[in-house]
Amino acid sequence: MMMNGSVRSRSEVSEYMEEESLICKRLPKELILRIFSHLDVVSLCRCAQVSKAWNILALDGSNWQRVDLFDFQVDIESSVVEHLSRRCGGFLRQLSLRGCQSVQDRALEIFAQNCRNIESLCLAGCKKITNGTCNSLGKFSHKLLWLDLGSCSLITDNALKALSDGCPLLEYLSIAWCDQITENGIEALARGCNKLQVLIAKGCILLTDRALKHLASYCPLVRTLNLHSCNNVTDDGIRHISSGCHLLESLCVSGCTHLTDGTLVALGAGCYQLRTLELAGCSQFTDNGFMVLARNCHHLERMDLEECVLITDATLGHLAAHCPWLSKLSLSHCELITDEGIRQLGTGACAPEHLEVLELDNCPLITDASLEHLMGCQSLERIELYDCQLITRAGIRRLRAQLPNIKVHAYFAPVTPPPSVGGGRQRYCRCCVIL
Amino acid sequence: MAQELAHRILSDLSTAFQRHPNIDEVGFIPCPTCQHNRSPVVVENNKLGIETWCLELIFPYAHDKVLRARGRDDNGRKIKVSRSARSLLEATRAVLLVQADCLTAWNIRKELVEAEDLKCIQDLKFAALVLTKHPKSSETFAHRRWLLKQIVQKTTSTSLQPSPVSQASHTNGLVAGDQASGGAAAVPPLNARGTKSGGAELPCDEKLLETELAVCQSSAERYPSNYYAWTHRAWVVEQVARCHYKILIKELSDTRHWISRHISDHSGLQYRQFLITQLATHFRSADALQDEFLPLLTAEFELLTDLITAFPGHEALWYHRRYVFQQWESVLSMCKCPKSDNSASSTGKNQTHLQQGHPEVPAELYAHSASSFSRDCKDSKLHATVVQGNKKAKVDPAYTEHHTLQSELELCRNVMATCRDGWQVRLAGSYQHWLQQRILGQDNTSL
Amino acid sequence: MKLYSLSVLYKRESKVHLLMGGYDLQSFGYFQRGSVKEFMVFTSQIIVERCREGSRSTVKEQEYMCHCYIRTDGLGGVLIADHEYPQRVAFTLLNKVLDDFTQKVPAHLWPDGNQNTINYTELDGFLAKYQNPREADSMMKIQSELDETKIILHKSIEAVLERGEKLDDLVAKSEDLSVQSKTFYKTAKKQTSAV
Repeated sequence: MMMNGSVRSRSEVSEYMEEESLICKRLPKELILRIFSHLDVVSLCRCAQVSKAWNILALDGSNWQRVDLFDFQVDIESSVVEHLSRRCGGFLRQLSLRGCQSVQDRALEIFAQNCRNIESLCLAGCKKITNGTCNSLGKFSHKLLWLDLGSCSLITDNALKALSDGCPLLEYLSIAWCDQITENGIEALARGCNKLQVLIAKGCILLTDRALKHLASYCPLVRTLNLHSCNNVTDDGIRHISSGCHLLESLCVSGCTHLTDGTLVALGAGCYQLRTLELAGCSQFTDNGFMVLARNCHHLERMDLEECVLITDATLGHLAAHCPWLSKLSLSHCELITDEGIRQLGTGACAPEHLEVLELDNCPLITDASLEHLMGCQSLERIELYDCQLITRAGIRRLRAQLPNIKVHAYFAPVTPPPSVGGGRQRYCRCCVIL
Repeated sequence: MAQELAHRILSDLSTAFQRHPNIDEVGFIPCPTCQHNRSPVVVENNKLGIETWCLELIFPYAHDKVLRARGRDDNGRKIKVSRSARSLLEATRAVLLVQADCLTAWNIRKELVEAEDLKCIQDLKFAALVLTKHPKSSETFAHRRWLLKQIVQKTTSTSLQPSPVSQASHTNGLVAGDQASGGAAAVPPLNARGTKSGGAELPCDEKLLETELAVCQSSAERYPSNYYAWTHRAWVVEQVARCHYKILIKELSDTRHWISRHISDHSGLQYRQFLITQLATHFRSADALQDEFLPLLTAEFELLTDLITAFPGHEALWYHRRYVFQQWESVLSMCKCPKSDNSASSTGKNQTHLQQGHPEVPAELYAHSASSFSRDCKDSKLHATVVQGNKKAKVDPAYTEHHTLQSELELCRNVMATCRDGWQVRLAGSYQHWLQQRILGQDNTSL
Repeated sequence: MKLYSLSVLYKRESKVHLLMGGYDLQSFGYFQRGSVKEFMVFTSQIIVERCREGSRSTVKEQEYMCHCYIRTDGLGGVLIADHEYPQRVAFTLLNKVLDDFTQKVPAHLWPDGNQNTINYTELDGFLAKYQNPREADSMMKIQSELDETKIILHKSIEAVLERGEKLDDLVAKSEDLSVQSKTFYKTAKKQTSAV
């Protein structure tokens, strides 16, 4: 198909050869085509305006394997998607329509019919699409690996059933903020898509422990799970995950306020590979839970403990003793943390080489002494100290002297006035007209 | 550093709004430098305070974000770039709290409303908050009008379902209607007063109206001579309440107190003039004008006499009196010579409404309503009979008219004779002169 | 028409101190009230310092009118109102307040008194009642005695100050004004001069 395209274009443009610039005289069309294939949409559309020859080459379907229309979201009408899918056909493997609010089911049906080799599709924020789009995808897009349906809040369980039937290769799925999805949809999805590795279900507030049970029993490969704000989830749900998904590396349960230490114990019992754990707003966790977690999950690298208000210096002691890879730790609003906890962290295994980011904003008991304890953390890139009212300018100055590259975030306004934030011109073009 | 700090302060603002959904006032706290490692965003007693040192940080930052969200390509086509609704809300909020007349920021919020990322009611609440800091921001009022139109448009297209024809004209009027004509024209006229068929139902959500009027009131309190606020109030009464009779009457009585407390502020009085002018259109028959409209004018005269004598030397009151007198005169001339139109020609634009078919009016009615005003000018009857001597018009109506004119002249003479405030004497003199000019003018036409 | 502050001060040998103050600052922004109050006290004090015992004067400062009456025994009152508030009622009120104060607070407490040592709680009541000057209708009729004494009118605070004095300097020097209030003064001044 690619050969066909270029042969045709060569014959068509030959009559213009005389006026062509040097680059066209010297380079064979195939090579130009090859170069074009590395360009993004904006550049391609600019090239398409250079000359008739380039227009044909630039708009050749083979260049349009990866298309991201995010920058033009407002202007993307359904017709643009239809033209695009006809032009690209089977070449298109990757398409992002993130935020293209005008796009509707009909356009995506035409797309799915034309571009059956699509592997990666982002429809986040295409608020008008419904189950119809997912039916089309299930019918035609059997090679789909990666799908983002974030904020497509009209879709329901039936959409997931359609995907389950037709997209068995699916590895990545985001249904963030699709708040009509229930455990039934997740069950269908899990039965059909056993290869699922990433599920982003942020804000799917109806999800229950049973949904997690289905996921755990059919999808053993899950590495990343995001359950942000799924407030119906309890410790039982996490127990299912820990017994079924041993490869889990990243878990977000921020805002799941019913969770207790049982969750941390369960993770310690089954998910030894955990690297990222986000627990913001889970205010029932205590030092005991973190003791078990830290003793079992030694690979923890990034932890968000914002507003885990019950934890004390003891938790920091456990993390310092058992988690040598810790690189990012957020303790915002953990109001019981004192200088002693920071001292333990500063002398812990992670301190000298790995600790890069430490967020201590709104920890009211922290003083300049904490900053002294952190002076040995040579990798520390950023520390958040907003609203730590006992921290002084002098303390920050001493820390900076010790760690010259560190970014310290506090309310003390910088001495120099803010530079005027002018900026490069946005890249605009007439892509939508051309397409 | 500065960027990150500005970003942080913007999110502090968001947190403040999340945690205190009932913030009802915003103000700046004078504070030249950041003294402590403490957020410059403070909420106390549902009042949001922002320390001034951070303004020069957050404003350029947020403003830049707003401008970046807007761009135009070479063809002048608008292009929206990668900004989440949330970050746009945050940025526009920060900009508008500092600089309420940033039209671009309001326009972005309009788009967010259209995309249903922001509810009209929410944004009305925010705009009200902006007005507590910037009470005479014209762009903020304009944005409120846009929001109100959105709401009114929605409710009229869903709730009212009269005949299909008028339904269609409704939506047409609203969709196609521009700023000024809105859709008032498309609304079926209210029952004419005088037929006593009772008040039609309010054409809008009562709570919405109440909130809007309260916003106008508080803006007018916060800034003297706030014409923006009063003009907006008039718009609301016209476009949201459709000049409903009950609302006009209620407004007339609700603003009495305000003008009594702001006697040198012409803006509130001008609003009352708007109300009175609108009220006049509700009375279709001479009877109705006599029975219901003249007493309103009488009450206005009494209020003014009271304020003028209690608080000498305020020009605004005297000018308002001229307006009331003009209205009075035009109503009387309407009733006095039902068959000749020319006497009315000079006296006000609402004449056209008044002229539609009015029967002869019993003379007692004039005498009655007029006398209630001129209670305190006991000897003016005498003057009245003297002055009207050579007039051949029907006795009673003419008598009434001059009775009022005389009592007005009497007021001026009284003030000039007794008042020790030089400015008040001059104002009275000027009013007297104005009255005399009118008499001359009228005598000329009647001769 | 509005009344903002009513204060009773004591002046002896050109030294002035505040005995008691009452304030109605509802019409000011919540976060401004503290500074506005400090400035009302500051201004009242300056005016009493610069005006002679036995005099009545009105000082116009921007949109405010500061009515001041100092009796020959050193007891002084300052009423800060807007320009709509009738001057006669203002002075009637000041007369009444000083009389009432004299009755309820013995004169020997005045020289060393301050808001904490003096027990006089009527000011807020007076302020509230006189917000509507009609309350003083009866007063307005018996104003003849007042008319005997001349009321001196000053067009600004600067006009009351002694030669060489500047309001800016007084503000900067003042120990009674907080940093916040001084900043407030500066920004407020910038705004009015810009208009």
